[in-house]
Amino acid sequence: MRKIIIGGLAGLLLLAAYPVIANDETVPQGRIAYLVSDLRIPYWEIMSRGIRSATSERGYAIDIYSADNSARQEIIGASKAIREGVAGIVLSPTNSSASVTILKLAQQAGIPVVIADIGTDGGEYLSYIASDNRTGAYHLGQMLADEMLRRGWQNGRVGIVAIPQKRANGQARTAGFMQALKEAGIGGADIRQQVTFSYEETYEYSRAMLAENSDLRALWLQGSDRYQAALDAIADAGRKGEVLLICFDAEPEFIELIPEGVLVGAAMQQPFLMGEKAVMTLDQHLHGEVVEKNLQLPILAVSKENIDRLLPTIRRNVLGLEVHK
Amino acid sequence: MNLDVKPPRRMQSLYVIAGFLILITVALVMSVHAAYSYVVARDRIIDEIHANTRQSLNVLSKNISGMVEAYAINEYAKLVLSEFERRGATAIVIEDYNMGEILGQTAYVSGKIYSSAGEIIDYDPDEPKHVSTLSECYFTARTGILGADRQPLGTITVCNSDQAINRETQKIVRDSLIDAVGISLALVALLFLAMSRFLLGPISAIAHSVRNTDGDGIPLEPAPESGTAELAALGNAVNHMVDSVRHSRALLRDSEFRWKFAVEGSGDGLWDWNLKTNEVFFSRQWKSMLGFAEDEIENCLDEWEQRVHPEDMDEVRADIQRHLSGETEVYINRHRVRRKDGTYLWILDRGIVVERDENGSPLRMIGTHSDITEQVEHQHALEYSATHDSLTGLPNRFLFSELIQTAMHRCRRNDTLLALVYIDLDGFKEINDRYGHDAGDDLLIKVSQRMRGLLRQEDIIARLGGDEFVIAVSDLGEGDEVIPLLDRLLHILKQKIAYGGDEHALQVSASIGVTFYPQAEQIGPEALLRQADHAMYEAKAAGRNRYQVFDLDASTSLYEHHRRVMALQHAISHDELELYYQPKVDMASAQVVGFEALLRWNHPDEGMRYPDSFLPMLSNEGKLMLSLGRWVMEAAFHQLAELRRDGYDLSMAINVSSHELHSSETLGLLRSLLERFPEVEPGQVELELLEVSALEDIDGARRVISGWQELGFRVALDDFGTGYSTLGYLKSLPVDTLKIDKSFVMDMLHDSASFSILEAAMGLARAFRCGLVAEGVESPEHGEMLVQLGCNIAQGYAIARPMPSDQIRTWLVGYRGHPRWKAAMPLHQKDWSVLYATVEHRNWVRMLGRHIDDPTGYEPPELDHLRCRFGEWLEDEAQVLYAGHQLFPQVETLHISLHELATRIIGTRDEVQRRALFAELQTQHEQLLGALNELYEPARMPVMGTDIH
Repeated sequence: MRKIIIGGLAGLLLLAAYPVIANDETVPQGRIAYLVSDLRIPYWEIMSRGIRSATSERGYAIDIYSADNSARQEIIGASKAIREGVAGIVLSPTNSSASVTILKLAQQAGIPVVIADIGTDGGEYLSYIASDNRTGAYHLGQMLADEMLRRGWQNGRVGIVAIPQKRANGQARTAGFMQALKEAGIGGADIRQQVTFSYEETYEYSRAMLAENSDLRALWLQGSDRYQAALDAIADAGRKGEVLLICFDAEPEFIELIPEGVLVGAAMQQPFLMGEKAVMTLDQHLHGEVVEKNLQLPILAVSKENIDRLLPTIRRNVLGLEVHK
Repeated sequence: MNLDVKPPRRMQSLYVIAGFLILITVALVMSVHAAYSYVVARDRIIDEIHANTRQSLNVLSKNISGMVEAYAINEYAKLVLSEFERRGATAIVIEDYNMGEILGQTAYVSGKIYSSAGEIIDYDPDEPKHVSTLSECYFTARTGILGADRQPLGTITVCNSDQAINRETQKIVRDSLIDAVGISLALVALLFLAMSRFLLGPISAIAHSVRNTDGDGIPLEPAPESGTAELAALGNAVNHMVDSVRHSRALLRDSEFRWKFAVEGSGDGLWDWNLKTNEVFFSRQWKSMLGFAEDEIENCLDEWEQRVHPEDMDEVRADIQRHLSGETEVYINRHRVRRKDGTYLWILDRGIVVERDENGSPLRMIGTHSDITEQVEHQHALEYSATHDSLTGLPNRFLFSELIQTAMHRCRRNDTLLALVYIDLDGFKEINDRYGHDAGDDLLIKVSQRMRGLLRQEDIIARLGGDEFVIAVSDLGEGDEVIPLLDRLLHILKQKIAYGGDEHALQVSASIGVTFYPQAEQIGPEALLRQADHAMYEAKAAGRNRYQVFDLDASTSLYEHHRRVMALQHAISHDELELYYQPKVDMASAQVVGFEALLRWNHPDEGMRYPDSFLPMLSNEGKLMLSLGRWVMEAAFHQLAELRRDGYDLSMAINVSSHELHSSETLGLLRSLLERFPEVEPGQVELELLEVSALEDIDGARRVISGWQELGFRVALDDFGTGYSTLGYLKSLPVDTLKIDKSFVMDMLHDSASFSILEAAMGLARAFRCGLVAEGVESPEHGEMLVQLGCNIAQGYAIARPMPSDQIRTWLVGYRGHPRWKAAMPLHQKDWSVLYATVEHRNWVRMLGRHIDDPTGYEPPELDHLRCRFGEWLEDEAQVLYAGHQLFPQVETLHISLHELATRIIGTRDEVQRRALFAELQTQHEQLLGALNELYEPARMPVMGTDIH
């Protein structure tokens, strides 16, 4: 879901291939390892670029271990990194549970760990860097409310196709979004949680809500990759132009769709920036500075009104395109 | 008054005791409970540990293999933590081979363990403490982790230490302790509150009321009777006790006052003997009685003991010892005590132990000494008068009978002979007629002196009356040994005796009868006397001045004896015997008390025979006497039972022979009769013993009498006075009643000796606390005098003659008593002298009458009014007692007038004139008696009589 597919990035995927790629083995600052769940996913790949960029700037060598979504590989990577005696680890684990084991091993070896994005169920770490989902969703909600008010649909309601609400980021997103609607006096119609994350699932949820709620004026997808299913459901319901669509996260196509008005807007995380922030935090720690234990990066609420202004930021921090220029 | 009674210092408070007991009890119960809980909990915990361990292993082994295979270390760590928290193990350790392989180790070891601070921490295999905790665990279980392909992936180890057990048991102990303390405190507090409210408070109130007392220690206020039933009962009991004490104190005060008044008023001396210290308190009166001043006698036992007459001391000590040992209820003894001037006074010493220790040993004895010297001396005088001839000083018939009994017994014991010598003077009447009675008296005195001079110390001589003497010579080897004495007696008795200046004026001779004892057949003293008397008559018939030995062969024969025995046996078996019943009444109240059963023999040839006519000859036939006695008792019981069934509440007196007295069968017979006749109360049967038979074996008689009395029967001593009773014998016989022989009663009106004996008998009965029955009441005068003497119970012809059984009921219906008896009142003892004087005066009139009838045969009485016995009384005792009485001058005048009349009668030769004057004299005599009766005041004397109704 957090994958960001950016055209032209396929060749860069080689950089994330296993084993670790060492950029500069003579850097006096030492080595930093990035343990990542699956470098084949664009989101992580963009983040690895941010890490690579930052380590390069600060004189660290970087070893990247992609687990390829395998727990065994993840442990092997971690074990190897620890045995190598890296100065610090940036960890984007396969899941928050797996990070506990890695944190434990790192702690036993005295290696500081900064967790990037996927959290942990426990263990000691130096800092945890994540996106501010609630604030991002709130701003997204305001954006939708403004559009509905502008269109005079203040009596219309909003249907939500949500990621699983047991996840902390799901709960944060729903809470922020609903707060904004409530402040605007717009009511929610229904909420359905994704299970399979398939096209069919999103289409069916959207269709059902459209059928059951004649006053439905908007659909919000808490993920971005199945936006087409929602668009198709609206069209099939014959309510194209009567029901708005808004998404969390971003797809490269959104840069086109938002200005076209197909999408009202989208909330975009900044993985490149997160990778940089992770290395910066490690560096600060290794230099004896006090670092923030928890650091939340803002999410960009992008609409056709501000997309032009935010495009450079989107290109660098969201899509990681500036590194390769 | 507040006595400020404090509890003894060592006594514990009820609070403390109750609290202590509760604490102990609760602690004990809780300890047992805690121990039981400990064992149960320990077993439960061990079971739980085992179960939890197995379950943990089971759960982990089922779920962990997938996680190991997926390298989900944190997931299985969470599972371990979950199990750890849920099951409470000490440590759970996982060995992960896969992870170990990656890390270059045999196994990756992880898990959970309790830190020393009690926190759950990660298990660190490199931490020695963790390792040692594992190795020291109480219970450890391990299982392998197998992969899907059954390949070993690692192990799971679950450990449990005994800390859980210890924690649990410590918790139990702690909880039990807290419970015990809490429950104890609650119970103690509750108990104290309850005790204070319901027990101690009311008790304190009662105690307070009991402490607040007056000068005598008696509580001023009643104890509260509130609160619970028990305390109310306690308060009530205390009040009741206080009331009783108050009442008892009042009674004691009254009693002390009366006692003090009685002691001081009676003049008795008081003594109080502390047996532990031998200190004796003697009252002032006691010392004064002996002639001592207050400070001349010390308070010690010796002061009394050293003054007791040595002859009396043994008996005194014995009586005291009997009382101290509890044999007697009261100590009573008569003895002599020496006065300061060396003379002795007789005292009646009475005392009682008033305090004994817990073993019954006497501690204190109190008693009185009453001066009875006058009474004893009077008693001795009476006894002497009753037993001696006043003229010669020799023993009279009464005493002789007693003395010869002893002599006979001694001879029988010593296997010697006793000769009984009966002497009648020949020609004595002529002396009297010729020289007067004084000469005769003088002769008798001198003759008696001469005879006495011939006798040994152990021989007995007595004057039987008139000119008849009797001598008992004992301890003879052969009968002939008495002959020299007989010859000397004949010789000296015919010697002339000087009289009135004439040395040869008086001369008599003697006819002597002799008999010997023992004889072939048992014989008593009376029969012996009759034999000697018979022989004397034979001597007199043979020409006087000789002696004659009684011929035994001529008077008795075995055949005759056998015939008598057979006849009586026949009479018993052929209903020839019958009981007659003579009533016994209370003369003062005219109440019939009972009957005496008297034997009669309806002889087919000889008509009715009285016991005197056949029993003496058969008295030695023991079996026959027992058979007869059985018949009499059965018949008397039968009659008494019938009377009881008819509603009469009367007693029955039954005569008992000496054979019955000494037979062991009698007691069984009495028991069987009580069973046969359940209507008969034993207390209504009075068994009458002849005085003589009782004295034959005094110890045996006492035992038998006691046995009868234990069954409830009463025992009377019959014909009292005719036997040989002494004070000593009477004291030994525990009889209930004395029956005065009719001979004394019949003669009491005119015979001062009989009166004296009667008076003495009454004194004895009173002294020995016996009832008294007078036999032989033949006239209203007899009954009246007896009532005046205080003896109300009597029988005699003046009441009723013995009657057959079929007349009893008719007589009972018709009996009304005699008006004179009912009107008569008992006299003060001081007034008995009037009765005595009355007797004397009747005798005087009787002698005068005899003289008038036979001037030559009977001497006239004393004509000098100052020398007759009545005159002597009038001048002496009567002056003290009655001189101030308004009728006294009349008595004196009448007395003088009577003597003047008597003088005129004697001086008158005209027979008609004499009779007329004598009739006038008798009228005045009656007036005199009437005036005498007015001198005394009736008093409520203790009445002598049986308490049988």
